[in-house]
Amino acid sequence: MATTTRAPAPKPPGTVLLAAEGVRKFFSNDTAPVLERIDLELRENEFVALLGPSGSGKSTLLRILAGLLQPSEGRVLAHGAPLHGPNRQVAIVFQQFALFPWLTVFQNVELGLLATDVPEAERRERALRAIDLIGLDGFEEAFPKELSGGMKQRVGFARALVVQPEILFMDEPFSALDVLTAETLRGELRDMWSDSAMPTKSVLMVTHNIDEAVSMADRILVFGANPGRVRVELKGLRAADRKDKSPARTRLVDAIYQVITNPDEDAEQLVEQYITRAPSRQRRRVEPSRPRRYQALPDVSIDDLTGFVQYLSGIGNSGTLTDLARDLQMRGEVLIRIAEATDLLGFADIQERSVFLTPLGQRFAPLELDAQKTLFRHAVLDHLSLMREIVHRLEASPSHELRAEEVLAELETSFARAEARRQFETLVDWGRYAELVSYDDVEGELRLDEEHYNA
Amino acid sequence: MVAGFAVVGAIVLWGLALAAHTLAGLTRSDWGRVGVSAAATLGRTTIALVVAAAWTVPAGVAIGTNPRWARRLQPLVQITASIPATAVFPVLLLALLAIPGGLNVAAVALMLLGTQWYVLFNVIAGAMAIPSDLKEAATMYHVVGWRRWKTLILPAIFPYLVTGMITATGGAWNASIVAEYVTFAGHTTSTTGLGALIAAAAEHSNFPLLLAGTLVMAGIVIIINRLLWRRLYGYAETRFRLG
Repeated sequence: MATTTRAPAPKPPGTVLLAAEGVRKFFSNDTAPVLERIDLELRENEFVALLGPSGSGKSTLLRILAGLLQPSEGRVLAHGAPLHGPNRQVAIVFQQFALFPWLTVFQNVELGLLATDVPEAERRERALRAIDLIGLDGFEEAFPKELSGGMKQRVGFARALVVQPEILFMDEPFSALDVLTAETLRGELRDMWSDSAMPTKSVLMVTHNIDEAVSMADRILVFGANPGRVRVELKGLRAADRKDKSPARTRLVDAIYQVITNPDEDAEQLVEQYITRAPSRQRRRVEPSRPRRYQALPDVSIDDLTGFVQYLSGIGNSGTLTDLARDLQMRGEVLIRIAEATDLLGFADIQERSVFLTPLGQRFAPLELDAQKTLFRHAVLDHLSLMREIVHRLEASPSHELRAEEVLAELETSFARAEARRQFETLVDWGRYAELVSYDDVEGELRLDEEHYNA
Repeated sequence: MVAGFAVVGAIVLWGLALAAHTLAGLTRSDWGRVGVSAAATLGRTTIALVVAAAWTVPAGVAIGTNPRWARRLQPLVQITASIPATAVFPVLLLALLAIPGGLNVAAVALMLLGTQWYVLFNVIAGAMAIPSDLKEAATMYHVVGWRRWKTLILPAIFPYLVTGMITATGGAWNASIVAEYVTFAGHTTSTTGLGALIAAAAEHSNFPLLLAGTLVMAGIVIIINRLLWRRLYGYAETRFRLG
């Protein structure tokens, strides 16, 4: 992973390279536009991110600016002249790589140069240099299907950079990659950009990942859907503030989350609130009606809990509650219960209306079952005082047994009877999965998990 | 179980012996006719397939890469294809018998009528399956004209084209039986070909010749499939599979 943070290259925005003027787009017979009146200027030395939920038209705008689609109204100006046909200033890196499966890495990279009048020897040399720059040395003769996703996208970058485009377009370039690979490539791209290692004067990136936009862009346009439009334009962070967890970055990420999760509110106002006042984060947690000795366990099954962590990990480690409820087709309150359970165990963090996987949660997701259980066991013991107490008592008891009634009585000091019962059931469910306890329902007896303790 | 195999084995052996006995009745000149006829039909099917590919590839790609055309033309193409070739054949014959070559040319036309649609459908499907980002990449990197065909379109449709051609090969050979030997309004017109040979042998109850012709036709189709299309298909699968 690229940890090198270099001094910010002094790159003041320069002349306008590409502009959209009043661009609207309708698809076929739709009466509602896909894109509503976009004005945008892309300047020299700028890294611009188009950020927004799916359906907000940001990819459509990218294709209009690339000359792949015609705007229904308005126009695109390349160096001040109206654009007709494919934009020759631009090279695109695609979300799904768009490599030709029947061409080798070298042939794929060389592709963009074939149409130019670059002589063959120079073509070859430039392609090899691009392959080298992007870390694909040794893979020249490989076919795309032999490569991992990360390597494929490197070919995508090499193919784009070899034509020395004035502007580099990237359409969700990292979203088809696993988290670590994406972070590695992001870092490398950041470094190449700030080192001016690529001839490109400007970058336009489409993304739905807030962190990605915030960590890379000089300017962020937040899009909204129905119709697709720019809701707010934000200045990017200074290079020094782009590091993980800098207060400025956290504020900006929070502000953008607010904008995206409140599609019907005034974006400018939300941003102003969040960036200037920077309120302390509030956790949504219900105050207990009477003082409790034990945390309330949300009524969540192990399958839902682990499945949720896996799912979050699969979509880039974070998501808003609204999006998650929609994508997982769950009722809001069910989803919040699950999210709270992962939060309680330290696998995730609920901030405002979004859930983020913690490093522990990220570590948990790809593990095999046994390793997951071990991690879960530690999480349960670390975070649930009642579970700790039960295990201690079981270990202290000569028969390694504990009457369920005792635990229930304990719980009833904090919960109403029915709720205490439910708490107990969840406790047993989680304890069994963690291989800490077993429970004999007939005898009403908790035991230490034999396999685990007799082994 | 063993008894079952024995019975089946006995039937097969008996059949083989009978076939051998039947074929033994053929003279050297009969076999010569079979060979010449097979060569003639091979020539016709080859021409039919080449012509089919030659027009269906550009047409199929034009239809398949243009969603608006695809929507409008596909039902039309399907309706046209569903008209049995034999229904159009008499009309075609009247027109073609007058020209030099006569049935020789008309037979190729009938084979085409029966088989080109398989190729066309497959090419359309192949062209429609080209991922849009590959097309966009080709456009952005200025891969146009013949290079676009060479780099993007032909490799992408190749597996589909081969599938269509395999079906068409079998169809063309079968069609030769009705195309090379035509009884129409009381007249029988025929041309040299394996299809004509089989049809005539059947009509005159010449069982040795019928058996020889049928076996040779089946053999040729199998050999073409094995030696040509299977290999091309395997090649297509390893080299030109998308995704």
